[in-house]
Amino acid sequence: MGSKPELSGREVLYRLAEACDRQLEALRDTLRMHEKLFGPLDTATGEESDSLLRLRKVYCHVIAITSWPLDQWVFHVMAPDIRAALQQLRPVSIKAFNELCGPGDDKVPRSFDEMDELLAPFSHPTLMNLLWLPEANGASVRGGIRLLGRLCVSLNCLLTSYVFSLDVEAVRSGLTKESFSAAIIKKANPNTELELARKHRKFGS
Amino acid sequence: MPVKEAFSEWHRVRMALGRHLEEAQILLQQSLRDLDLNAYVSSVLNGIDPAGVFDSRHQYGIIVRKLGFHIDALRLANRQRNVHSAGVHARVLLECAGEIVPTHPVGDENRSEALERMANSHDYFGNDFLRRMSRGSIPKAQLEARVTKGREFLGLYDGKQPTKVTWTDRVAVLKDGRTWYDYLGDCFCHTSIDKLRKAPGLGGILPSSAAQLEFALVAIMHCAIHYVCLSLMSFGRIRAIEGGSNRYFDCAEALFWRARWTATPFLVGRPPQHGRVNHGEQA
Repeated sequence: MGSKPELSGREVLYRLAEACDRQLEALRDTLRMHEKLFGPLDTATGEESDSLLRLRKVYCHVIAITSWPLDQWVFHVMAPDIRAALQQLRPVSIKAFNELCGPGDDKVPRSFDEMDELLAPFSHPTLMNLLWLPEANGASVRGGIRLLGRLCVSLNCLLTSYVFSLDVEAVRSGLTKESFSAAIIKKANPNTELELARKHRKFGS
Repeated sequence: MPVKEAFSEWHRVRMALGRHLEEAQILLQQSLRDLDLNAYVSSVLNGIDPAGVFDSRHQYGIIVRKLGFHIDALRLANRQRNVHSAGVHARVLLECAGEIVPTHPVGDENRSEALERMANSHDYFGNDFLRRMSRGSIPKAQLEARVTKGREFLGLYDGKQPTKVTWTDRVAVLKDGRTWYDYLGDCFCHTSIDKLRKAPGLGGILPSSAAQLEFALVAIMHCAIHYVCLSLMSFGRIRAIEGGSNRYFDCAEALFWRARWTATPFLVGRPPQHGRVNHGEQA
C-alpha cells in the first residue's frame, strides 16, 4: 500500500516540468561535450566508426529537441525526433553495454522496444491514436501529468543512452580517460518527480 | 550554374516555401478557431456524447491540430537548416494527409481507391470505437453484422469485413504519397548505416555543399507544403459540407497553387533564375 499524495495536481505538474527542464539542460551539456570531443558536424568523415556516425545523427535530432520551450503540446513535436534519435542509439548502446557488462542481457533492447512503443502513436497520427491517448489530446491537469511523465521518461532514456554511448566512444577513441556520463545522469535523475506523478495518478482525483 | 549562385537561388526558394508554411499555419489556426476540440475529446471519452465521435469537423479537427504542431516543428527545422529533423516531421505531416485527404479527395488522388479506403476506414474506426467504449461487451459478430447491414443497404457489400489500414496504405492513395513516404522513412526515420555515409539529403551526416543542403531542404519543404495544403483543402471541404462557407477551401487552394508555383524550379529539376521566385512575399 502506498501513501496518499502530498501535492496537488498542479504542483505535481510543476515538479514534472522542472524534471523535464533538467533533462533538457543535461542534453544541452551533452551536446557541448559531443562538440568538444568530436568536433562540429561539418567535420564528419566517411572513415569514422559506425557508432560515431550514428552519434552525429543523434546530435542533429537533439539540437531540435532542446530548442523547444516546455508547454502542454511539446511532446507531439519532440516525440518523432526522440524516436529517430533512439533508433540510432539502440545499436550503439547495446554494443557499449555488452562491451562493459558482457553479452546476453536483453534488458537494454527491451527498454528500447518499450520506448519505441510509447513514442510510436505520436509519430503515426490516426484518429484512434489521437482520441484514445489522453496525453495526445487532453489539456487537463491529469492529462498534463501523464504527458509530462511520458516526456520526462523519454527524455531521460534519450539522455542516458546518448551520454553513455558518447562516453564509451570517447574512452574507446582515447579522447578522455575519465568517465563523464555518471555525473550528468545523476544530476538529471527524475526519479523523485516520477514517483510523485505515479502516486498522484494512483490516488489523486 | 556556379555553385554560389545555385545556393542563393535554392535558398530563396526555401525561404519562400517557409513563408508559405507560415501562411498555412495561420489558415489552420483560423479554421480551428470556432471548434472546441478539448471539450469534444472529453465528451467522447467520458461517454457524455459517444455518438458525437462521428462528427467529421471535430474528428478531423484533431488531425488538423496535430498537423499544426508539426508545421511548427518543420519551420524550426527550416530555420536551423536541420534536414534530419525536417525529414522526420515531414513524414508525420504526410501521414496526417493520408488520414484526412482520402476521406474528402481534392487533388490527384485515385478517387475510387480513396472511396474504398474511406468506407473501410470509417467502418473499421466505428467498430474499433464501439468495441473500446463497450469494453468488449458487444460481440464481434454483432459489430460485423452492423457493417454488413449498412453496406448491403448501400449495395456495397462484397462479403468482406473492414480491415486495419497500414501506414503505407494510408499514404498510397495520395499522388506520389508512397514514394515520398518511402524516401522520408528510409532516409530520416530508419536510417541504415549505409545511408549515414551519404549526404544530408539522403539521410547521411557527411558534410555537403551549401547548395546541396539547400536543395535537400527545398525537397522536404515542397513535399510538406504540398500535403499540408491538400489536408487543409480537404478540411475546408469538410467544413463547407457541415454548413460552413467555402472560404477555408478557397484559401487553402490558393495557397496550394502559390506554393506549387514557388516550387516550380524544384519540380522541373533546375535552379531558378534570378528574380523569378518572390511569391512567398505576397503573404
